[in-house]
Amino acid sequence: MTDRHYKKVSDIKTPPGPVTFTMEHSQNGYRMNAICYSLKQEKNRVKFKKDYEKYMADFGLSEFEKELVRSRDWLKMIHYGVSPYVIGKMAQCFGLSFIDWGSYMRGEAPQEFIDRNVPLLKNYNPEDNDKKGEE
Amino acid sequence: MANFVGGICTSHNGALMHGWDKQLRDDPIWTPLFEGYDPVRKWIKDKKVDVLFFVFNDHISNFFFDCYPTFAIGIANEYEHADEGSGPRDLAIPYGDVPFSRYMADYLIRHEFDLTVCQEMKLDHGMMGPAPFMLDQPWPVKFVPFCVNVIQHPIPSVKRCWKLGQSVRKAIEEYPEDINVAIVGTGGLSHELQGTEFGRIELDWDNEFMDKFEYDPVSMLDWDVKEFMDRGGAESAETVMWFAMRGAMTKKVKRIHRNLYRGMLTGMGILVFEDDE
Repeated sequence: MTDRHYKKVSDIKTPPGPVTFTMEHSQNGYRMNAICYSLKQEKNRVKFKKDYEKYMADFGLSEFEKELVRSRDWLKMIHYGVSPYVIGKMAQCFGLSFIDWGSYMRGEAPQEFIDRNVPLLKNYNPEDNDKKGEE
Repeated sequence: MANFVGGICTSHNGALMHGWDKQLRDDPIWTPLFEGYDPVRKWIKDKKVDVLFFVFNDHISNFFFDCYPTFAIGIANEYEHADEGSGPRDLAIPYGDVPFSRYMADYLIRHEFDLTVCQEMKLDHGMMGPAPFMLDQPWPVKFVPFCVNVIQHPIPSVKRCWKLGQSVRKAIEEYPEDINVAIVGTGGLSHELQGTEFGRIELDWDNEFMDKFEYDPVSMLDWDVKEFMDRGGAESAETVMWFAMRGAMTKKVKRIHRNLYRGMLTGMGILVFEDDE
């Protein structure tokens, strides 16, 4: 069993800054990661989108885990132990892109994030006397 | 005897997959990134590379947390493309060099690297993100996929990856067949995907890192992985895999190519080095 005895989703703390995905996260989030992993398959995504309550029940998620999914709080999920490499599969089923759930963690609108982070239109190489790029 | 021709480092991310699959070379945002790989493609051709020893990480595409290997090597004749959520990609079949792969696994295990040996491996964007940018298809090279856990901490240290590179180099030089082999280190550079600073990029650090990596890599060998994460964001922990390439090279290197591009979510670096001693 895991080390964190969360009783409710609201118990998951989300301090600012990065999360380092450790063995403890991995153990906490094991079932959550498994359900997200299952959504790599189109046939499972179809089932999830149709009735995610049923999909979660069939998957055997705990009441706590179901609450976490229902909350669609991607930041809490990350702090709990859902891997960023599978969380997107579930977000996708709720119609959200990578940038959507990412900017949610920042507390920012996706378009705000995109406008600020649009890639540079040229490469950034010291040889080109271009150390600062086109910011 | 096999010939070690040099090393390549490259970032890998989902954007590479997207940019390639949608063929976005002519989109002004993507053009610099595509152009950044042209010299790599040319170098691989000019050097008549037969095999790429490809150090990368799986993103829960092949392995799951039920059993997540720290180091894993593929020894298969043929690999599958991973389904990362939109179906397997439409790329040429990647072939392995079975005798060479088995030899590498054997050599590394005899030299203190306790590898997981894989007869099947689904390759995801960790390897197949940059590969189509660097190589024509059907692939003109065979592959040895080598996976490093960089996503479930603790992960191998900088020094461990450096030593891996040193052993890979020795192994290649002792291989009896006359083939040309290059090593590829992937991952990084700055990015952060978990938490409130999602999207953090540190382009100045990436640039400084690429200088240090070329001229003074030894100064970073004792760094804790956390040092990279603090400077370049949590997911730049992947940068440890670049040291497998650097450890395979001579201390002083001849730089063939260097490029840095700022994507939406990642500082994306490319390097090609040859020995200079």
